[in-house]
Amino acid sequence: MKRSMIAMVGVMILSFVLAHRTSAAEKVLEIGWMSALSGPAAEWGEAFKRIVDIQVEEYNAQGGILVGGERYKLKVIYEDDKFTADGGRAAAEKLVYQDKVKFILGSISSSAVLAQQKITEPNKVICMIDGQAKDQVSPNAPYSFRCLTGFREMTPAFGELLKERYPNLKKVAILNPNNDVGLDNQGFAPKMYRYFGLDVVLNELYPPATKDFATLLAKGLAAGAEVFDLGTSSVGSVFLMKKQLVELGFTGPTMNTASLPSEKFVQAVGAENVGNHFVFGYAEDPEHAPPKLLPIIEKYKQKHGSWFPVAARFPLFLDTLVRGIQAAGTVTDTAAIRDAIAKLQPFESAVGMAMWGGKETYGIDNQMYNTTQLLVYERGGRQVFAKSIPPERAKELATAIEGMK
Amino acid sequence: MVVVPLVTQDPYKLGILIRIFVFSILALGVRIILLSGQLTLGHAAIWAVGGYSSALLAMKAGLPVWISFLLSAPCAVVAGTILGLPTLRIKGIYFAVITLAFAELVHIVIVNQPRLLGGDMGIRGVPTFESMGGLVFHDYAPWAYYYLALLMGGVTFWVMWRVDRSRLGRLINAVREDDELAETLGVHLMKYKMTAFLIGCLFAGLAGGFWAHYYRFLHPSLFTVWDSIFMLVYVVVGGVGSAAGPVLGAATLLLASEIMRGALAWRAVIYAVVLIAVIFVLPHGLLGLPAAASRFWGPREGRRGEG
Amino acid sequence: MIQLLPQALLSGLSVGMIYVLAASGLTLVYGIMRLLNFAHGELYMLGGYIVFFLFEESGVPYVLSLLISMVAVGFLGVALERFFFRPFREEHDPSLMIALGLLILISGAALIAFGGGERGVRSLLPGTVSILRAKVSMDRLAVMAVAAAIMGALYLFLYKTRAGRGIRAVSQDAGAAAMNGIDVDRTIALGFGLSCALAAAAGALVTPIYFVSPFVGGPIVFKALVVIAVGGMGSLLGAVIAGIILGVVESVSFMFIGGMADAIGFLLLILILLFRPRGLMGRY
Repeated sequence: MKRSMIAMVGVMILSFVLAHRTSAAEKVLEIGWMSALSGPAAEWGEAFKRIVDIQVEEYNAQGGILVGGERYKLKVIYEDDKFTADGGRAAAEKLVYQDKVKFILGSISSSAVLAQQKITEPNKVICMIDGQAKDQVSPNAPYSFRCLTGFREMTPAFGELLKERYPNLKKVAILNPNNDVGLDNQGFAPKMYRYFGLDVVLNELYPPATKDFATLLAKGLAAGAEVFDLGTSSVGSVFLMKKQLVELGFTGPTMNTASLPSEKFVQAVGAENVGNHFVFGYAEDPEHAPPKLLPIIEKYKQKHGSWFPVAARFPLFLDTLVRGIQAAGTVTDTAAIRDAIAKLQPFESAVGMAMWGGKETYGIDNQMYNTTQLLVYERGGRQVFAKSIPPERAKELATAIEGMK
Repeated sequence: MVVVPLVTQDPYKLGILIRIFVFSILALGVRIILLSGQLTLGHAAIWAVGGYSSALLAMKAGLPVWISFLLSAPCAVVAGTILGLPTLRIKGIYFAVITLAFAELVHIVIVNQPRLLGGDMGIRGVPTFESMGGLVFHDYAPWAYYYLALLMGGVTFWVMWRVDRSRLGRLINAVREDDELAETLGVHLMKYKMTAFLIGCLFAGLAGGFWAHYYRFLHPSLFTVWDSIFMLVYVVVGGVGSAAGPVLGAATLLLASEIMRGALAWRAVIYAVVLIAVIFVLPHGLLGLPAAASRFWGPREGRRGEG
Repeated sequence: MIQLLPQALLSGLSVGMIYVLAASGLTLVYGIMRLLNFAHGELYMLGGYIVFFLFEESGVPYVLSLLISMVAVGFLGVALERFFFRPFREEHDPSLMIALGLLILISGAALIAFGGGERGVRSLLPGTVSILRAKVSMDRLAVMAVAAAIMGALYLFLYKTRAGRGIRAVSQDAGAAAMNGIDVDRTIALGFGLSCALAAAAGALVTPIYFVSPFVGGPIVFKALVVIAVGGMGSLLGAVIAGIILGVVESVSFMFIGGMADAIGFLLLILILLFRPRGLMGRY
């Protein structure tokens, strides 16, 4: 009895070891990833993770990425940063000190990035981030590259659209949550509207937890607002503000910067109420969609049932990183890779043409500019393409507006 | 505990231990306040006062970090006095709600003062401790911070331990157990509640000062009502009966949380299950573990003998 | 600015009714168990999700969905009391931990089960009405009316039925109640179940005018806590008055001071408790 037990255990151990022995020639590149997998921002983090999973699967199906003549399979280590500063620090500490990664995808939360950079910058870990706080892209953080456009890069397109489509509307009310990004937008948005010759009749901050906006919205209406810019309000707040605006009888154009989950938005606000709401997203029809986006949407739908619009922006993170690594020809020399990433020429990505810029605004060209598209909801819930501007134009506008006093 | 940095220099692991020390200090504060009969849900706000005041004194008033760090204690005591003086006479759940309101007010004030207090963007680049003797405080080699945190934790624990065994401790307990009786016996209730409260605040302030110069970044989201609630959880799970309780509770739950990182979204659910299970098995905290274990695995004769 | 006052008052009133409904359950639990049930908000959240799945996704009529959610969550509450709270009935600290544990458990499970996004439901009644230059949607009026009806029914139950009187007796003095022949165990189970049903009702009513997500539980518990502290523990009337005051104060101060509007509510709470340490109408 005892002997057969030992034999059984021995066989189990042996098979375990054999199963996990990878071929000597297979090289693996470990990449860190951090975002919200719990808490209110979990949906975004989940979408981000799914996109990266799809990308890694594709790269590995080809045998891995080719760097300097060698093939490297990609392996991602996922960490939950809970979208907070504390979570960001803990995740960064684990990834940098414990897992010893040299690259991190994320975070996409401003406060997590703030904490993360304190660890990654001194350790020369390259981070593809999207914190919306302005100074996360700066000469003090040369290893951080912001891969998503923020309100500075996107919202001027809306100002231009208003001038083109609604030349009679002149008065804009701007509402932002009272947090770091909202405060930032509160300072930027009025300049943007002034650039396009519009008047700002209200420019206010509200406590982020607010559910009842009726008073605030009524204030804007009393001041004569014809357009409501909902700024960097969270998805839930946008649901509420749009709904409550309709209750107050307002049917004019509205806009917000955060990416909305389309079906849920229509469901929450009511199909008959969503008309005239403008969002920054990407068209899914073949005529207007960025060509590289469509196969990704297909694959995502296949795996997960339905498409989540904000996911369009996430392939850029890994794609840019891989391009940089390949251009540098090394997986270990992060200083060289950093330079290679910074020198990348404009390339076609899932969200249209992508290029670096931002020196005038941030002091360093580590901000990604890409094709910005505006979509608008029609009454009944359908989302249609409204406008597209190329990254050069976005850069031009952002710089001009930032330069205004 | 003292030799840990000789075994590992890994900032991640040392970071976890430092966090355990700091939260033990905070939980010990909540415990002593609890012993005086008051449930506080605002301790994180006092912690924040300590942190922000130390950071601002160092950055705006140009004081050496060691001085501003030590000043975080009196600043927190002042905040505690402002909060406690009018409110400690209020009991039970009403007091708890007042501390909650106070904590939220502190949060709102911080968020709405971007210029003075960094607002929601936080305060960055907080200076760190100046080198002293052989100890250099450096981000990549946190062992100096580790020893400082260990020292602070040790001192706090020792103070709480001594208070428990002192006349002060007995009076604090008396005030909780039967305040009417204590009053008739001439015990001045407010005096002892205030004392317990301010002792808790003092250490919370120091913990805040340490946190500011260790993290080197302050943000309102670091000091929320949930943090206050978790401090209470560490006390209860560890056991209120002794100063070792909060330390045990903090260490166990914080380690469990770190170990469960890989569970991603399931972490919260598993954590909750662990919490509930621990309470079911040891309602008076982990301190009851030795007694419960000996009952469970006790000598057979004894059990049979009970028939 | 003053012409916006009617709007602020009306919005504040509708928000206040929700607070009242959420707080009534919390004060009921405190009364019979002397427990601050932190998990109360999670039952509110579940009530909202049940309505979402029945009314929005499956086309069940709203009122029926509301009733089902109240009954289902009510029974869940009875089960929770029996298995999680009864073992620790006399012990305050462990009970509090259990409540916190349930909070984390239920919201964490909801995140995994439902996903993190906010979900809304379609309109109950179309249209908006104008009252004294203030606009309010028919939905909000309906919700206010139903909330008031539920509070009315609650009052009748607690004061006019035997079971209700039993609950009040146990709240006052469980020992005396037992000696008078009241089955304390059964009464507490009933009371807890009832409080959970009230929480579910609040969540179910709020969902058509706001939305539901796995995270709506936490904030509502803190709001309800403020309401019952101001109103006074154990007092239904106190909860009604305090809830409406809080809703209106929040709305009006929003009008005048925007970003810091939240602070007014907390300052008010501290002031009221300093002068009336048991809230406006507190009994214990």
